[in-house]
Amino acid sequence: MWKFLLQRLLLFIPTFLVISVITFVLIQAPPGDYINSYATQLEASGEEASEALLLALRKRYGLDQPVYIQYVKWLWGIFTRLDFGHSMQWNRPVGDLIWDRLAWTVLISFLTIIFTWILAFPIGIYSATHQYSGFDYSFTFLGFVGAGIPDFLLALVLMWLGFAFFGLDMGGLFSEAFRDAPWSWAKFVDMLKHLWVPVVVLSVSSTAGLIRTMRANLLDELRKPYVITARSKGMTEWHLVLKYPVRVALNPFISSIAYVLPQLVSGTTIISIVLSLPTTGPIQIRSLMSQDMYLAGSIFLLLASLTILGTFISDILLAVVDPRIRLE
Amino acid sequence: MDPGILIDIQHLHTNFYLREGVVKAVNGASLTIAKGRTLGVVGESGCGKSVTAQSILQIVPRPGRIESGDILLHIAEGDLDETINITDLNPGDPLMRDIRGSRISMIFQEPMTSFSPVHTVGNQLEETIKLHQPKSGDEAPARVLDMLRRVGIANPERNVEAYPHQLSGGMRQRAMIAMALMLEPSLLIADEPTTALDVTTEAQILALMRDMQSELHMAIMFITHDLGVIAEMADDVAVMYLGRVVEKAPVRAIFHSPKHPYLQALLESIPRIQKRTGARLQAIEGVVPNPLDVPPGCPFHLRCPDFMPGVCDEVVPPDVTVDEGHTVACHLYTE
Amino acid sequence: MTVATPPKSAEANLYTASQWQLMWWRFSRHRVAVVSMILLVFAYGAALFAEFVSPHDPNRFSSSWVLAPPMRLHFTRPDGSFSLRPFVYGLTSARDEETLAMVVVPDETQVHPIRFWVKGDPYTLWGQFDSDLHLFGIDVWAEQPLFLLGADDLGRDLFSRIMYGARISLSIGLLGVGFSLLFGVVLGGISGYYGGLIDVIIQRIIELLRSLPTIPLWLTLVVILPPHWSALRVYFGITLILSLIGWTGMARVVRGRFLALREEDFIMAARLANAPQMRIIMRHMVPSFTSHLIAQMTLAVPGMILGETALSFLGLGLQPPVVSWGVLLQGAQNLRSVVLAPWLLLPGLFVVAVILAFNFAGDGLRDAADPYAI
Ligand SMILES: Nc1ncnc2c1ncn2[C@@H]1O[C@H](COP(=O)(O)OP(=O)(O)OP(=O)(O)O)[C@@H](O)[C@H]1O
Ligand code: SF4
Ligand SMILES: [Mg+2]
Repeated sequence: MWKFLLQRLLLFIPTFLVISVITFVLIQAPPGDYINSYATQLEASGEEASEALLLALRKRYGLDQPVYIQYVKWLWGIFTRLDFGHSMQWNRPVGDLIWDRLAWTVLISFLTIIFTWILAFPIGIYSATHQYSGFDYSFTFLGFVGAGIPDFLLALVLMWLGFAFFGLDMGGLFSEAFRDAPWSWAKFVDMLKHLWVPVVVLSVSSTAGLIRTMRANLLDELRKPYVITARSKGMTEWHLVLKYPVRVALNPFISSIAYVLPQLVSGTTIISIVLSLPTTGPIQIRSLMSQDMYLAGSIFLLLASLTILGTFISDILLAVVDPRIRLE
Repeated sequence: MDPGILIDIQHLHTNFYLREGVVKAVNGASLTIAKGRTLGVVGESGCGKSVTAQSILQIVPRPGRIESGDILLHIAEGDLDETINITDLNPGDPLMRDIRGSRISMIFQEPMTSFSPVHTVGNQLEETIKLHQPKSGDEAPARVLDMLRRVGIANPERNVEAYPHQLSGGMRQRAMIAMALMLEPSLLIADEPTTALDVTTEAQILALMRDMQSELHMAIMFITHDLGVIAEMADDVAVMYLGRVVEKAPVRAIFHSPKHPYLQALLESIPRIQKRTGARLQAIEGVVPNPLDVPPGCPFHLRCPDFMPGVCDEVVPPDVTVDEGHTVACHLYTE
Repeated sequence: MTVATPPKSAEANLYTASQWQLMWWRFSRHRVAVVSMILLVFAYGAALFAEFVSPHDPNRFSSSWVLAPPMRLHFTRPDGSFSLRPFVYGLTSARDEETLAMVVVPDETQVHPIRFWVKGDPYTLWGQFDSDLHLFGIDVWAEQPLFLLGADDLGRDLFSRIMYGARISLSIGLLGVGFSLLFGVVLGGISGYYGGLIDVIIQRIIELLRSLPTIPLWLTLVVILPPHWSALRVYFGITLILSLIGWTGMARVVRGRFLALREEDFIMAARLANAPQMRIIMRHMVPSFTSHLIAQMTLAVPGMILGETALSFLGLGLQPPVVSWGVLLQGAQNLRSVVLAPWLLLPGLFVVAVILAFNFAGDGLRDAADPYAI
């Protein structure tokens, strides 16, 4: 078990490095750099961008050095000081800008996974044990529909319905009154009143997928000989279903973290635009548009690390739950 | 009912209702299992051996269902002396659950997949006790260890903690037997228990089953393809063909005076030397008809060398007693 | 063991033909899948002949018809007489009595019957054929619009724009899957056929790619495309970027089938006969899983369409004046305009319909390819 975990952990480090290289290459790839777009901006507003100023700026942000030096410096900063570089557009350290937003992304994704599980678990079991019943058919159909609706469209439609018919603004995470207020119980309640919107929107498609997986796996397990053994020992049907196949079908449930999380992070990015949520989504898009490279890159790096961490966590949980993996 | 009889199956019909039609997996089979003796059940693949066994325990998987017939279970224990007709019970009936695992238990071909992969062997064995004797409490673990020791599992203290995939095939089948015998049932149904094992392990498991039988005085219903194993294990034999029992006799009579043309063909198809070792029942000309479409009359008439037109393909041959304890269902022997 | 000669081609044809027939038979019993397939044929047909199917030039704008609502089709005239041929009322601008803003309202004095096969805005089909023939429209097309699904904020016909958008959005789906297939078959094939270290490396890459959040990745990739690129190049660039994730699913299927097939006798036989490796792959392995691939491809299209829609919606994908469903949905980003003109959400309905159709059809195909898989 420990060996397995250590293996996985050791794998995590090179993976992180690979992603950081990819990220850095991606950041460097667009033609020009922030100083160019800064110069264009200055010119657009009628100011003059002198060569000397631009050169000085380049020097200050290390943009005059070779790319690999820039990369190593960046990575070194991350490892030693959690310093992700400087956002040139905001003129602030990247770290200041993203931790809060990353926390919201994580929170929303986490809540969505929990919510998805709570829904998919019982529905999946019921569908599998009552295969081809009306219930099973309706959920299979709903599952298809749920998986077919893009989350940002769902968010748009919800926003529109809420506003047009109930006069509600479903966007944001807080009401006007609480936006800048310090944390309090009332603010927390207000947040919950807003938070359900992204959670519900995001869980529609992941729940649909998970129900399908759960149902398929359980159907598979229900045909296995060990179920017949348990039955031949005199167990009641529901006791048997819960003790054996459901237990075995837990595996795909846990591995779902690995593939649902990237989906959720991805979805959060886009619905945050629609719902104006203070996650990493809006700021990532803005930074990409203005080629604020350290900010854009750091966000991608962190999001990717987050989802890879998810894979890691699901591996650990799998090992905990399944003796076949644990005792390898 | 004859006091020596444990199970009496009469005209059992078990069907599977598929979209393509009705599969008559067991189509009017009758047989008896005597107390403390071993009944060997042979027949080609698909002839309904396993479904007959599942019917006895009422664990026929969906979309299958017992259609008609009687399965009489004779319980004589101290003052208790009663006969239960299993086909009168629902699969979910508490009495049926009581019978499963405690009076009749079953072991299967694949010991690996027959255990849950994510629970320890000990957990699964103890469960059998707890299901039927909820008050057993603290003594259950000790009983599990004792039973593991009796079936010849080395180092039981360590192996109760093991997961199925950590045991060898032979060990797993021993554990399976331990689980089945935990409550000292009066009938053990063994559905091809050694097919998945190598020859040496097979011999050990067969020896173990015989030992446990003489220790616990239980009856065994031993399902197999292998006439060699039948010769070794069975006291009585039932030969099945397409959902029916076509011949029943003590084991000696089966080998020395086979009556049914099917059984005769089977025995002839086995070269002499192989008779005791691993001869399988596949060497007869023609194929078993599709159980979706059972032929009228005698089920064997399409392949029978003694086929009598106008009789065999029209009338189902009744059981005829040709000798004491020896019956055969064939028109050659009807008056 | 005897060395088998490859099957004669006539026999092989017979075998494959009956396989396909069997598949077709199984598929045709899946009614929802068949309906979906028909719907897709219509959708692609409309995209192909967008110029002809749409009543208007998608770029014809008019300040008079800004955010005009969808027109209702009528069958009963104001005087109560019934006509089987549907007609619409003409539009006119009026001042809203409450808000005093200019709004577009139907003018019941103008009756414009809808006719098939009519003259309308001139166009050049596929950049080749000049014509002004439209599938349907109204006689007074030059002065009055036909807004079946309303107009956008520049007074352009939404229905026509959706038809033109379909061309981009739907073709990106197919093209993206085409690219994915190429990468997937090559890399998955190598992975499954050779095994060993190559397999491990490719598998790790796939795992890594699959664990990345797609939209953030795509966004980061899209900004690499040089800003001076032509619309066509950007289109191909985006498609390539989308298939960068898409190929992993394809590669998995290919690899899985290869692993299963590798051990089968006929491959062994071909190997013993010392057939060149590439020929083994092309002749024996590829045909035997074509059916699985088709199913997998069908199921992969929605991801591509969704990807384009999402990127364009966010303003980082295709840019106006290119018309795609995602570009059209940009108009719905602003809550206020959606409240004012909910029909701006309609392109989304088309997206959902096409995605559902692909999912149902793909599901039916998968069942038909492999009735035993769950
Ligand atoms: N779950 C099921 N669903 C549908 N048909 C079944 C099912 N189980 C058994 N059958 C059918 O019932 C018939 C008898 O099957 P059974 O398993 O009893 O054969 P068997 O004699 O045990 O064969 P084998 O020696 O291969 O184990 C077969 O034709 C089989 O197709
Ligand atoms: S009844 Fe007729 S067909 Fe059947 S076994 Fe006897 S002789 Fe053969
Ligand atoms: Mg069987």
